[in-house]
Amino acid sequence: MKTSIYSRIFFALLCCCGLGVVSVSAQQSEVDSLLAKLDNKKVNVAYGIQKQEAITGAVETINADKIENNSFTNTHHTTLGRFAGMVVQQSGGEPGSNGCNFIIRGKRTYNNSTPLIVIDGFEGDFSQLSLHEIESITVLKDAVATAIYGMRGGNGVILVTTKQGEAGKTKFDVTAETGILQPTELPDFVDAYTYANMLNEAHLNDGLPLVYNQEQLQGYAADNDPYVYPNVDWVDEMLKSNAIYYNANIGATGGDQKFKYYIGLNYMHSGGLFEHTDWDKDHDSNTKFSRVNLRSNVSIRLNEKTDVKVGIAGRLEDRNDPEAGVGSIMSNIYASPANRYVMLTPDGKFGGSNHYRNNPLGQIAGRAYNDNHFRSFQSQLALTHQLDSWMKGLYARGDISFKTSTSISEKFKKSFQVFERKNRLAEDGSEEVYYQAYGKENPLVYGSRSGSQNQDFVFRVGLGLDRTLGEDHLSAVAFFQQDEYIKANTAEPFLYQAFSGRLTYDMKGKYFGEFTASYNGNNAYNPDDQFGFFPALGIGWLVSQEDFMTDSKYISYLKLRGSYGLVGNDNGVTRFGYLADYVGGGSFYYSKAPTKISALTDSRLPNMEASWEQAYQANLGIDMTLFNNLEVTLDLFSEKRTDILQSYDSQVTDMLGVPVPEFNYGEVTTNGIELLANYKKAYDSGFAFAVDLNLGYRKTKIDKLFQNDRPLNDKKGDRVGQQYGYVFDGFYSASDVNSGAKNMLDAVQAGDVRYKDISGPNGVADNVIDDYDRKAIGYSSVPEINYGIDLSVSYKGFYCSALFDGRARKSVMMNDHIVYRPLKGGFDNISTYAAANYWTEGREASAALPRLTAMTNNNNYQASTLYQKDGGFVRLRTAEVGYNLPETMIRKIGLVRSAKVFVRGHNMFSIDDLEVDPEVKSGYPQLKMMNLGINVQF
Amino acid sequence: MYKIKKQLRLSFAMLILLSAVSCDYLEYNDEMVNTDEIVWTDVSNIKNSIGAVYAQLPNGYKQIDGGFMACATDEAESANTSSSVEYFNNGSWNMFKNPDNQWNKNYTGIYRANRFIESADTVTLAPMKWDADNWPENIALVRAFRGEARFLRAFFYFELIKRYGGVPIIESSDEIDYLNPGQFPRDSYDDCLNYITSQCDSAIHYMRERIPSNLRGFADDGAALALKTRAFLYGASALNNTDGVYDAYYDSCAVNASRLFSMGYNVSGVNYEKLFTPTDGLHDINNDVIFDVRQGNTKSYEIDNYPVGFENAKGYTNPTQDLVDAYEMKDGSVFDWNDPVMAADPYANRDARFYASILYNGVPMLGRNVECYNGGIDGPVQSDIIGTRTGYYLKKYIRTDVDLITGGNQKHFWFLFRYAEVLLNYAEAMNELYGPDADPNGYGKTALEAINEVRARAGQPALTTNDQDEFREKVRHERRIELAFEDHRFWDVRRWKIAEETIGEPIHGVDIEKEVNGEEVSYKYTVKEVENRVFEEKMYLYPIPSSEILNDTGITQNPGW
Repeated sequence: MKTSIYSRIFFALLCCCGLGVVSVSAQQSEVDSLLAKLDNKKVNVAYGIQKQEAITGAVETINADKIENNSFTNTHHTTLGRFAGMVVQQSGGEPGSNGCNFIIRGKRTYNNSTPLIVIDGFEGDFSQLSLHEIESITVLKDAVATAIYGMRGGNGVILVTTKQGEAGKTKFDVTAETGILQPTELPDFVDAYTYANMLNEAHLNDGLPLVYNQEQLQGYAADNDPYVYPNVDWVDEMLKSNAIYYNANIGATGGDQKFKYYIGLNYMHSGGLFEHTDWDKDHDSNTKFSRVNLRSNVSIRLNEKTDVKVGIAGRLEDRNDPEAGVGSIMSNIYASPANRYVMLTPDGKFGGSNHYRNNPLGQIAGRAYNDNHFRSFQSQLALTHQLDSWMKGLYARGDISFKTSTSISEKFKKSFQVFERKNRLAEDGSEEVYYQAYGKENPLVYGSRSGSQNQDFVFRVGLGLDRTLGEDHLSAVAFFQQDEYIKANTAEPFLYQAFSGRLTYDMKGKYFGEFTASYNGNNAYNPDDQFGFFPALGIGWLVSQEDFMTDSKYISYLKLRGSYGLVGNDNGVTRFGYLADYVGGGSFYYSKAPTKISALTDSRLPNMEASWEQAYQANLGIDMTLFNNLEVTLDLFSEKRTDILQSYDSQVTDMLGVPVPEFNYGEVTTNGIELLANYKKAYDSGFAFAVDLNLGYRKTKIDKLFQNDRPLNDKKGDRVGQQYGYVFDGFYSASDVNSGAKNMLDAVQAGDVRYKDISGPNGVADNVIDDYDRKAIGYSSVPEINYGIDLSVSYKGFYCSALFDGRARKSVMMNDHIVYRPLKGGFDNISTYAAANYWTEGREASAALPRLTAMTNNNNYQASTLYQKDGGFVRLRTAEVGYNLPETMIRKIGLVRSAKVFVRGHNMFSIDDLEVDPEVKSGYPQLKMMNLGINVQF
Repeated sequence: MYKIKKQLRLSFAMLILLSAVSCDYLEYNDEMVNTDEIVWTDVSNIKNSIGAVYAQLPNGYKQIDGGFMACATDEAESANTSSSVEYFNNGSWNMFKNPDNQWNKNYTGIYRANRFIESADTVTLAPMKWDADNWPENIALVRAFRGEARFLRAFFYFELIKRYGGVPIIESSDEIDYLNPGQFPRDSYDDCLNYITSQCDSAIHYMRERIPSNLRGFADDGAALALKTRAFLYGASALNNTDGVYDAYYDSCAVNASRLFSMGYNVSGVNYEKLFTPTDGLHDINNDVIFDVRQGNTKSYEIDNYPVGFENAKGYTNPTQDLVDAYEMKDGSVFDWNDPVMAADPYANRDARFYASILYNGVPMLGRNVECYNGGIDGPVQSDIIGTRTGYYLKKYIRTDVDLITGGNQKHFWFLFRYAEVLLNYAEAMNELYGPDADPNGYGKTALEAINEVRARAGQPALTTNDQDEFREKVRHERRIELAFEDHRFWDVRRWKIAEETIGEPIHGVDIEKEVNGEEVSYKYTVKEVENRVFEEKMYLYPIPSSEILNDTGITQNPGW
């Protein structure tokens, strides 16, 4: 764990505020008003809204207050640490491409486990919606909640609902904030002298000639001749300590009973961390991201029977990236040793050599940039018509959605030369220094433009019924939906059709029954067998409404619920697997030119029966409120996933000569538990606090699979994504290098990694280290436990809050990471961690990494317990202190309803076991943010 | 009434909407797919389909992890430290990791050939008859392809048996039911050999005779004969003919070789150096090459193999001192480090093929001299790349007319069969049967005549020995020199069963010190050991890949693995 001085100060400040708040006392707070809101909570469910009590499935929701009070550069991040049933993993650090992968209730399939994301009833992605335009994010977890999505709902569903208009006088909500983005943690690398010594040591170990002679080593040690003996701290030179962030938002809502609207306008900008990007005054090669979001949600009551809702949203995203690519520059910054070349020669040219042309400074300042534009337009219309005259409570509804997005990249080109210092004999016989140029220098020119487009068209028509029958209540929806998604670079559009419905019955407000089903199809499958039927049933019992419970002192609310059903998963499946697939099979040349023939061959055999995965899901839940203030929700679930489509190739002899198709074969069982708890309390003194906790644990178990990773033991019973590897058994020493099991991975010497002899061809240890000695080690890279703790305290107008986000039972394999793998490729950089921990004379006992080598070593860098680290962490995801201006002061200002100022931080620190950031381990770094903002409502 | 009407209208509208929902909405657009029917009735599709079979031929430039097979022999050492060719050299290869596992690739070729033969043998091209002018030509083309598919299938089987010994012969594409594959015991090496040679015979029945230069790249009857020659020679060699049962194959080898004598091939047309880096037009008059694999224009082989001092170059393939020493002197005598004259200037007066194959210290290249000495820009120690491990770089196959920086790709040809090899095959077989200087059956040449044809092009004096054992050594030496880096050595030392004492021995390089004495520059050469090599008895054959063993295909593993 590493924390910068800023984050420490920030955290200390936060603690002081917290303590200060606890020690004083006064009046009413906003937590109270929140408590009031708890009654009659309504929750967004698939294609509708339900009363909290009537829900029989497993559903989790966060509302606008947990979403908009953030400063994330990506809206996906608002889900981090918030859901017990969903693991959220960030995929990168660079604003604009730092979205997340969502895994609901564990990775329950060998294939794609991405959930379906639905925005206002239609598929979409919310990563670049503004934080302020979202009303709620709901995660649907079990069968009764998701079966209505049929074969698309098996991995769970995320429902995003945008803000709708509220009747009343127009209210404005304005937020403005600015802050800085900083890397959470950057690797440290050794200086030139250490590097030179270590490279020599590696070559000595490998029996290769030494690279540096004594004179050169002394030169690096002296470190006083930067042009002959460079010593460049590339990380320090190339990365700024911080980049700028700002965000501004205006939301307006209002209207009357006939016409309501919400309008939101948001602008966000985040700067890049690269240094020296203004080298060329004509352009800036930094990575920068800006975004404008505009949304207008309007609902109109046309007459007493007919309502229309129109939602229109547009988005502009602009991203500037260095031509060389952010990933490439980052890896060069890390991989370039301090002594390899100078940053700049004495006459201001980029340093480099014949084989090192990628001077990071050159990549940043000597090359051009890409100007990327993303344009998105989303529109939808919903028409509801009451048909009470036919049947009381009956209505008809039609929805239509059209979305289009365009991505255009304008690429500019520029190239640079690098210069290497060399000596030669001058004409007068003396030695002179000159700089040899490599590469070609070209000025900035326009390169190319590339673009792609996506288009979605979806409509839905159906009937609904909402009717009270005495003490009971019946509601039902049934509809037909047809989807078309035209995706860039895919010839055939993605087409779906569905007949879906839900029936819920509420008996006396105590007993609840719910039935959902879908009959839906996907054009990816054999036309004779494209449709599947997915039903689910849920029941609920509001025990606290029973007479025997109404007097209970301690339990004010108690509900039991259970559900069972079948959902499908068609995500990430090979499309059109039922067709013989004649495609290219390499190429062949003849004649002098030579003339090319593009080979044509069947790429695989067809499987006429390729189908979707079936998920049989059961859920038991309990919701209760204890002591009036403690709300607890507990869910137990179990899923049996069958028919997981898997490649059969590894099971069939290669003599067949053609890949065989995928079959629906795999089976996985998943069991888990999820706990939500929150406790809120407000004192007369004005002090209030709230604790919100979520915790999820689930374990997957492989029941059936085609195992392609052999000769590993049968994976049956292991978790999905289990890591496998050798078991580290110390390092060879000079004296025992020839003793023990014979190592077949590579020729070994002292300082190499020794592994345990576990098994052999006959299932017993055979005194040989080879592929038979790998076994299940640690966990998978998807955590089995995730948790979030949200703490908030307030006193009078002051408040402070902190969200801790944690993961446990997760393993990461670091064998190929630059921090743990010195001299990768022979000449890459060495981290200070590696320098302090590698095996060398005098450090045999304490070494944590093997001896140095400049060669590819097939023994030392195998996935093994040596490099497997605990991937768990706890991160202070969000921390905020703020002050709500007192009403007396606000009244003086006039129209203003409320106003607050706040300081907010994200990713302030983490507690973990790694030498790198636990979430974003390579590429553009994970960002920590510190931010100052105001919010005014009037 | 009004209300009902309105609702009727609405439900009517909804009905229309529903009926707009087409039943075949989810169907695939069939026209976008190539079906069997489309593929096997159209000549251009058929041409592309035979292309898919050809595409499985080896590319020797990048045979092992992007490098030459030569780096797994005593011909060269790879300076690419991340290349898996090292598994061969340090003996750590096994059935799980074999740097040259060609099992899948060749069986894929066999599947495609089977598919082609099954489909193309019945092709009538009836739908193309409207094109009456071209129809006979198209039919003739398809007929030739039938033969080529048979030849290629035989070639793939030979690629398999030289690696793995006898393998199961799969003769049709539906022979293996993938749902219930069953057991596939291995056919014997001899059965495979007979299958290969008989397939070549039926291929020749269909194949085109010596095709013109604008169609080269396709195989013709010469290729099929050359394959037979090679296959019979391997079959008669020590590895596969332990007790002399198969000595008759020497005769089969010689007979088939002799058929090629009168087909217009010769080794005298193009000089040895130009042969491997042909400029335009040269390939037209080249009658040495029988069958080659053509590459798309590229410079990647030059980037990989130019001496490291050139911009971008990686200098991967480093010929060994052992090979360098094997090149004769120009007068036919043997090079000797103990001879002070030779040792002082080791690269003078050598066999012309030395200069065509090896880049050595001081040789001019692209306007400068190659500097392999310690401290030289191509020398062993570089600050940022591994320089030459042996003191040499590869010249054979490497063109000097490409620009490593800006582009300037050039054509490259990987030779699968050369007439020179046929002559050497013939010489070896004849010597075993009848000694160096006899042709009792009138095949056309004696062993000596055949080998001396090859030597004559290089300008080396003719051999005269009449001793069978001495000639055997001479022909082995000649193969090593003439066919260096052409993926022969690896197999020759195996079939002769001399791998332990050749590729199992340490390889050598040279340490070069530059000595400046006033105006005078001289070099001091010291032979050094570069790498210890491991060769064990079991390595004469490759292990059957792990997937076949673990899938219980009924194939027995080769001994020792």
